[in-house]
Amino acid sequence: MKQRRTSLILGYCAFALFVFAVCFPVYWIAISSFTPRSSLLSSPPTYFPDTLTLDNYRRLIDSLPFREYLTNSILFAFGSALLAVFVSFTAAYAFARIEFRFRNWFFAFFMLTATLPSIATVIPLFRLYDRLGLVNTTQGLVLLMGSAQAPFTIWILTSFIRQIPKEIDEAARMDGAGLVRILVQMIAPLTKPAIATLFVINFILSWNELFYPLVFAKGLEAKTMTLGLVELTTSAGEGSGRPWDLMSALSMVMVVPTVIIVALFQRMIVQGLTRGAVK
Amino acid sequence: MARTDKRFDRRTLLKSAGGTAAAATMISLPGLPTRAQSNAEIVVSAQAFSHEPLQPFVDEFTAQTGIAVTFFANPAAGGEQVAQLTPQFASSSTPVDVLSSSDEAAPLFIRAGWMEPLNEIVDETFWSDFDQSVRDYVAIWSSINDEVFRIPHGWSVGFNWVRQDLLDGYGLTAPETWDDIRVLGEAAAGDGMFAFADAASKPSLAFVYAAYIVAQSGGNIFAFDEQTRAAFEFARELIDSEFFPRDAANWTYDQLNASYMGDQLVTMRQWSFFYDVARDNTEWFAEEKASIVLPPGAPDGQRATWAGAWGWMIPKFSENKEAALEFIKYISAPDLAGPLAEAMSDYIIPRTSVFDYLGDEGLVRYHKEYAEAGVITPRPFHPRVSEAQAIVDTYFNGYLLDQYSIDDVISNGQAEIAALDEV
Amino acid sequence: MRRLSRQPFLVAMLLIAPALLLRSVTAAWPFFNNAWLSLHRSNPTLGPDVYIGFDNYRRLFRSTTFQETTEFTILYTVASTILEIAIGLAIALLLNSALRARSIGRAMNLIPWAVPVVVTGIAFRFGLDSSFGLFSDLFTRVTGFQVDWLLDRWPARMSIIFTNVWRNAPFVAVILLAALQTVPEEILEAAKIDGANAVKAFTSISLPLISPVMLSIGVFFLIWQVSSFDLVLSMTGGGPGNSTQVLGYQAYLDAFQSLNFGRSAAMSMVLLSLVAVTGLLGMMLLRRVESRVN
Repeated sequence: MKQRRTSLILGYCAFALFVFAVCFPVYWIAISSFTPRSSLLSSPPTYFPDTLTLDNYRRLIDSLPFREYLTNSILFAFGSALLAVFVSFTAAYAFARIEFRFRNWFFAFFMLTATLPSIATVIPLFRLYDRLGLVNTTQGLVLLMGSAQAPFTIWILTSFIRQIPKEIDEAARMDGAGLVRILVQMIAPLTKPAIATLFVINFILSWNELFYPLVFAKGLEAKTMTLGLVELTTSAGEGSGRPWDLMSALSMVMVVPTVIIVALFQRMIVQGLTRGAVK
Repeated sequence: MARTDKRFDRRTLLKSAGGTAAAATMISLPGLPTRAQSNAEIVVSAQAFSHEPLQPFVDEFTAQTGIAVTFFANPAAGGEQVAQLTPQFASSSTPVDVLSSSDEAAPLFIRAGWMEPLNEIVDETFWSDFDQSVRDYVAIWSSINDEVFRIPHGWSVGFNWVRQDLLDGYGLTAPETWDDIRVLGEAAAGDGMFAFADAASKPSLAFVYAAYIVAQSGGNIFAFDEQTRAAFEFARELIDSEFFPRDAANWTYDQLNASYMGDQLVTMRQWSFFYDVARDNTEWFAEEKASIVLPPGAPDGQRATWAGAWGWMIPKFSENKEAALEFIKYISAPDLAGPLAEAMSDYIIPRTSVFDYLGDEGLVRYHKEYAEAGVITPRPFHPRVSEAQAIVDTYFNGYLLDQYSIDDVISNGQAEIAALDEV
Repeated sequence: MRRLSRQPFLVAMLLIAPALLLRSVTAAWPFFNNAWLSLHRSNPTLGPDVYIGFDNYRRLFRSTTFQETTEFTILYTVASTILEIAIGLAIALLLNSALRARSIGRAMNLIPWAVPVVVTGIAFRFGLDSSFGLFSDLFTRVTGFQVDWLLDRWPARMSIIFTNVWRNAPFVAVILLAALQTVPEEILEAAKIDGANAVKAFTSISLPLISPVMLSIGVFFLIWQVSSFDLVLSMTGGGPGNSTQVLGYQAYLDAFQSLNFGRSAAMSMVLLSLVAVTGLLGMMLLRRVESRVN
């Protein structure tokens, strides 16, 4: 019993440390977003600012076409995550379960394509997109981002599907289940935590993606919230710097939806377990 | 936003409407048919904060010409503008018809042959409105072989900001030479303050500071010559004797401003945007706490600073070149320059028309003072400017923070600048 | 398995086709384009492209800064990845434990990762500043040491690696958490009944089961981080001097600050080969681990 208590205390200490490590830097960003520009930084630093204001948020909303950017961001992040998870899931099943010729080569191909820095790809891609009329469209951006996320998603999902005992789908097959049924009714539920996790991860990745929208989104039809991070300025003055007051406010605004997404998927991530199923 | 508080009122609108007609006759367009009304639509890129103040001018333009204008938001940093537009220009198309372009982007775009020459809308009469410093700048930065590609609309000057209140307390005047900075350093040390600072971090800001002091020593920064060496050594000496905060080698401008308004600096080099920042800080601000005086100079150099610009260009892939030309002609006309500068301090540029219109109010009087004293040198130019700047940036920042010896800085710097010609 | 085994290739191709198509168009083709470009002097400011063989590579390897940059890139990538996996695993265990507060922890966990990188970089640049920094101030109060985090070579390198870990460890944790949850509870229960303590149960059951996922994510983080540079850009800009410069940033500057596409392409190819070696080694290791597990 005593040992139990020690480990519990240790656990809570570790937990407190974790909470502090996560929150302290975020706290600093958060208080910056409520601090007037003129008193943003002080030396020595203040842990609890004495004046708080919503002024930064007000100015932020005035300086960006907020509604358009937000809508585009949601469509872009949601679409990319969905596309990436969908194409990766089927591919991962093939890599995890089917012995086919050149399997390793295809797998290596996906991995290798993930290594190319996106800077190296944008110019040829832009030429292609220009010809296809995909520049400045959310669909075009979704295709790019979904594709960019596929290798990682395939890679992780493959490991997860390999963890599921082979006997499960073999048994199903014995019962005469087709491929689609196995994928949808057996494998998908069993890998639900992984799928939900990867969906959330891809959503956040796209939500925060800056480079593709910077190059491929040219107007209100496609521009995303992240572009606010590069467009926010208070002056054209040579490198007058990023306005930290507005940027911290924008980043707070951008964190909120991701927290909501995490909370929504929490249940799926945590409770859609294989535990009950693997019997 | 802070910048938009001086609104464009009816008076200026009426004034400018009359002025534009005059301007149109003054800068006549031989090659183009005069079009009373057109149905063209153009996309104009400008930094996001300037869209709102520009709107009334643009509405007037549309009313006069029938050309509709949509704004396109520029990224704040020049480097990002290159990333944003290069893939598109390289595919021979453009999202904008008129481009407000930075010093980092413009030389590249012009040399890549992606821009349209604008000679036909500017002539000697047009340029005679501008101060010599701007004309020097345009000759180096916006032209190739007498063809002009970019009309400046914004002018960033590195100002010398001083705490007149503190100087008076020390019984000193604002530093005119580097020696005066040393003297001030000794005096300020007693209060735990630094005589001088500039943000000198990577990327880019270290170069800005380096170019400032090299302008004062009269060197050619991209040659890493003797005067460059002297300026670098002076900068390092200020840090070693604690007259300049060492931290500043990783500061951005937010930190520089905070340090200045936190009463830790007696003087600093800062762009004009500090004018508004200081005034926003009502608790701290007093006129004598943020005075602008002429910059100092090296003992055998000159009192100097440098300026960069933003300017209008037309991508040659634009399908509405004529309308775009009309727009630049309209927005650059001398009669509009004053009202524009009144609406946005970033549009203050040393032009007779601006000075006459704005008189001696606010920031403009310092622009006038600097222009009249002839302390503004054009921003250092190199045909491969971004790479050359990056080399200075790295070695100067590294030298300030003790990563390299001065001999290494000079010899490696020279070698890397020379290597730029190889590629 | 019978129907599948008859035409496994066709079925598999059908399953990977959508992903394959996407990747071929958006990555494979640009890749060949890039390889071709790296053999050219390609810079629109200097006129049309000219074939120059391996000159871009030769110049790269001769450059004084290239070696230092490569070394730091490798250090940054490897150190970050190892720490991220270790700390990520610790967080995952904490969030998978019986602690009552764990659901709050799970909701909070991804916040560092949800903050846009540019903002993280600036936040830590300010936070670690010697005079304005909240983080450096706290560090000094707790430990009594005063460190100029971003002004000296090694502290700056540590800072940037630490910040990267702060940002990415939660990401690793959330995937490892999902992996831990796919470990069948029955086996763990059985082990407990057999008298194994928590540590024993973890090392002998959970760890081997999640090690393929751990390794996968490790390899992938190596691949990702080797070309990433947004944190470096916004936090130190590569300084002091060149101490925290990374190859990805250099490739970005070459392409979009200089329009030197040829050299940027060559740099990307170097990055790619670095990654390919790591990736292949990782895959081989993964195979080993998996065959041991199964």
